Amino acid sequence: MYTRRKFIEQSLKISTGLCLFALPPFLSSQSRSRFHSASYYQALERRRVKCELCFRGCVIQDNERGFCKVRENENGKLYSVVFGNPAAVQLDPIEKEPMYHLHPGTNILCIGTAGCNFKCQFCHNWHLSQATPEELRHRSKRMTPEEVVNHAKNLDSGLSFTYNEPTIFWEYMYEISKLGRRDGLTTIFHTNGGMRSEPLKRLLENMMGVTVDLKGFTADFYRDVSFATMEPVLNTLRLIKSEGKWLEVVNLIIPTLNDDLNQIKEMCTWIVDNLGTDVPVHFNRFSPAYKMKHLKPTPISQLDRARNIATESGIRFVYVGNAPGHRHNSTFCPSCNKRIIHRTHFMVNEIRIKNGNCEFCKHPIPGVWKT
Amino acid sequence: MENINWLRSKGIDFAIFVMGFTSLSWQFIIVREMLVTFHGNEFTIGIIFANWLLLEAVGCYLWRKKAESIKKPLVFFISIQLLIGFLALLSVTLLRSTKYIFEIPLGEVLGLHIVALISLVILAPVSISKGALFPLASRNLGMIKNKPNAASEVYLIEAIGSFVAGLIFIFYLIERFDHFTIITIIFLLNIFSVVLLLHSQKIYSRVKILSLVFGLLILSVTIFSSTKWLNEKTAKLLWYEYSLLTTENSVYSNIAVIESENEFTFFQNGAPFITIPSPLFFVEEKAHIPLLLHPQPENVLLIGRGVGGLVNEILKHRVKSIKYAEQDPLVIQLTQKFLTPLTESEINSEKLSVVNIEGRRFVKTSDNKYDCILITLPIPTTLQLNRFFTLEFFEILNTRLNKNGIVAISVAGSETFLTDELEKLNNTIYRTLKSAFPFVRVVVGEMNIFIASNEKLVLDDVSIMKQRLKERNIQAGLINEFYLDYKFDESRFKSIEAAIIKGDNAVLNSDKTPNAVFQSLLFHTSIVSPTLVDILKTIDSIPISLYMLILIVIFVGLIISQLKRKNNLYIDTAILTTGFTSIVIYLVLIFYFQIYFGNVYHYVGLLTAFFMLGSAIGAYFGNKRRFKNLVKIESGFILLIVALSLFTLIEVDIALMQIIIFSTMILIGALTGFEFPIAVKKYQDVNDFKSQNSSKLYSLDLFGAFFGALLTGVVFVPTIGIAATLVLLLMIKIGSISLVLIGKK
Repeated sequence: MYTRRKFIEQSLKISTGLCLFALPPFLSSQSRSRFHSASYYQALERRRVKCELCFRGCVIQDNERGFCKVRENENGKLYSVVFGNPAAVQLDPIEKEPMYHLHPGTNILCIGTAGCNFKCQFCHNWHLSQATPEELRHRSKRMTPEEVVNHAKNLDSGLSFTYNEPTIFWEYMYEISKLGRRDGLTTIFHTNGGMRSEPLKRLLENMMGVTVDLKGFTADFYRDVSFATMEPVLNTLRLIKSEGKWLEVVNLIIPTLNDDLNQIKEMCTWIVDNLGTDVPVHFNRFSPAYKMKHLKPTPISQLDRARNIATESGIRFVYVGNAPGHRHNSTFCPSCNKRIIHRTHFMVNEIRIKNGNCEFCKHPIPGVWKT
Repeated sequence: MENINWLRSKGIDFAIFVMGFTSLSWQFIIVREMLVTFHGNEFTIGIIFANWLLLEAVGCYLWRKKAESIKKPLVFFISIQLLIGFLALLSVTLLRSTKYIFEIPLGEVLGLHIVALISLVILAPVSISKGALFPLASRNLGMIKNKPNAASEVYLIEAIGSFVAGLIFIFYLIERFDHFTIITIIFLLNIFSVVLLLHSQKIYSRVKILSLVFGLLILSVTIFSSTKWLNEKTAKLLWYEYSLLTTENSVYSNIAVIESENEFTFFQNGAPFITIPSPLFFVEEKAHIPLLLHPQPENVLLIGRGVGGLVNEILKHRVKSIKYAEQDPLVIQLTQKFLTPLTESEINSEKLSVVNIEGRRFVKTSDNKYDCILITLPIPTTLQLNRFFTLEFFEILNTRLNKNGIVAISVAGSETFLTDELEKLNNTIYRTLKSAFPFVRVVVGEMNIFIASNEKLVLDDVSIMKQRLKERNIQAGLINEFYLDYKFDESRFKSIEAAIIKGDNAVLNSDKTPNAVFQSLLFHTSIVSPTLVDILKTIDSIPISLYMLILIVIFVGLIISQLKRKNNLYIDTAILTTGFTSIVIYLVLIFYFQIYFGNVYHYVGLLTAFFMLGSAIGAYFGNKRRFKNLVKIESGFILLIVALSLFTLIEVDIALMQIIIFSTMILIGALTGFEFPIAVKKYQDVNDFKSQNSSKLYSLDLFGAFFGALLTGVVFVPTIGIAATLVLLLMIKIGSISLVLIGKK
């Protein structure tokens, strides 16, 4: 006979079973995300958060992501979706960054993920920067910071955070660079300069050098072509300099969009006034890419003119990039004018610097050199 | 009196002839203009055609009743005819100004949705007006000739006008005049026709006609005298950010040359294709890596972009001869016109010989053998480009190699990361090459270079290449021993090369299943309209069985409806499916032409003229009283589709194929033209005749064509291929004939 007691007993058993089966995932989703916790954000009311990593300061609703597509709000907490999840891990010459005055001729292990906090219409790495982590999930790797550092050590290379904007994977970059510095590896990153000062200062503790894109020198250009703002980039440049880290500036000259020589002159004056004359400046040749595929490459003479302006402004190391065979791909001693680093494109053929000085006239050459 | 009647009847005939002439000429012009503005491929052409047909159908449908009721149909007809002349001028001007007005940077590749929207707006005034002309022409012809239904005759005369336009356009106008001059000539023709019509109808006094003629002539002379100015000004608007040196049309394409800092950039149909001097990283790898892999390259064949740097780099290897196949003589003419020291030395080199023959045809027809064949073309986003990436072509190349010969093909790539779309495209090219050559390797880069040979390649031993670099004393900006070390360092690019070679599910790319085209289009779309990529991938994953199921459901529904209501649904369906079928076969034939001959831009006018010729012949016979059998004509379509499907299965000789394509073009035109008057007669038979019904049929024909153009260009051919498209077409016409058989009872 089916008694009341039996009924209660069985009901309890079933309920307990159901609880045991259903509760753990529920509990875990409450307490632990599958993603890595993010730094630099502020919790707001109604489970919203304000990301304070880059200039955008995205206010992110619950279960949504910021502009960069890789920082997600889960239940009022912010997570980095791409921590330990690089989409590209590639060995490159350090010159490819470009980074010319820091351990020239060495290799770096470059790390990039999906996403970006800019939306440049001419991006060369748009496959990564304009994709979501989900779109790249089949191609992404799983690598802990330790694994990345060990991989770099095995390849006898340094570390660089590049391809897409590394700001957006700040936590991953920070952890890797911390381990990298501990083990004596070269650590650099290539940024669009949109990071806020607090995370930047903390990150710089682990970094030896930074390459910053100064994409143009008008607010309009930043707004229209990169969907960003210029002022934070200038602040970043000043901060890196004041923190005493090695800094190189890149300006990609794009025909019709940012090739006005007056603007270039203004930019060079600003660099001299704010960063000094020793910061190397790279004027890179544009070649058609992404949504700007129908634009022509920058004329070499335009790059030469920009270079002349920079030199006249007082900048001592001005390079012309993406133009293989160009004389000013190489480094010349500002004192004796002899070629002290011979490069073709990003290949170093010869280095004539000893202990940080020109081998010919012993003039000190600013940079970070291997002894 | 008879004379007057003759004159009246010929006046309206001529006006309708001019209507057909204007319509087709205008189509040619606007398609070419849009190709330049949007840098078109099959997708864009499909969209432009579809928009055109849709708008014309809308115009016709909206005016079908109004044309019946208005009091002065002739005045409306004349006014719209003249208006089209103006609107044609206006829309070309507007199209060329679009980028300037909306501040669209010239270098930006536009998304397909933007292309669709802009073309819809630009085409609307002329296309809708043109659509409205059909019912008006039918009404006027009916009134003048006292025929109750004149639509079939309008259809016939319009087809003749289009046929003549096709011939004149291809053989005369396009090579001699710019687009504005052609539009003005057409406008003058319209004025002449209007005057003739007014004079023949005697509804206005001579003074009125003369003053109108005078006014219009002054206007047209003004336009005529300023076409050069207009052409130049609007061309400058189109290239507003650049200093434009010239823009010229050849029968193959439009070529614009801009100058900046003594560097010239050539744009073909709106996209840059040569910069002189070319950036070294564009040319040095493409020339030196393959040539360094060969022990002694003497004879080189170059297909693609040659002058401006590549030839100069090849010459550094002390080769004996370079054959450079460049289809369009205008490219070389303009290179000579805007000479630089580099191009001068290249063109004057005794070792270089330029052959003005399309590359594939040249390889096929000449027996020359080469040590190195370099293919430097953009990725195959069109069937024309795909001719150089197919198994059939690779197999021909294999027979044109000397011992140790090498084929090198560049395809978009990346040193860092391959997207899904790019990886699949590279997988396909690899697999296709591997099916034609025993040894294939990939040199990874921003431009991957596929090297294929019948002998083992020396890619793994970079010291051999460095040795040859030294022996040949090659001085280059990019390529040196350090760069070769970097380029062939296994630790850098091995994983990317492995991903390209792996491609477990890689498909073959052949002439008739142009898989690489869809993959290239997907890659292109992932840049310009990323949201569309998922839609296209979904479409791609739809099996043909689902399309079949949809068709079965539609036709079962139509048959049930026909059985219940016993109305004219079967006639409407026959015309709608005919519009669909004719444009699908028309496009398939154009694609075939492209696959076999590769210069459809030259012959599209002639092919269209043949279609219109067939259409006119069909309409002529269809107008005869004794032909009334819709079943026979529908069976004709079925037979034609079956015959055409057979050609997808067998390999046909190139000369025979030419005959097949042109005669099928006439046949499909004839069947289409034949059916329209029969359908009109069917309506008459059931005493349901109103003139507006024939306009409805005409717009149904156009609606069918609209769906056909859109689905063939964008969905069917790129995803399921030509053969499967024809199977679907067969089902559609079988459904249609079933409906006709039921409807007849």
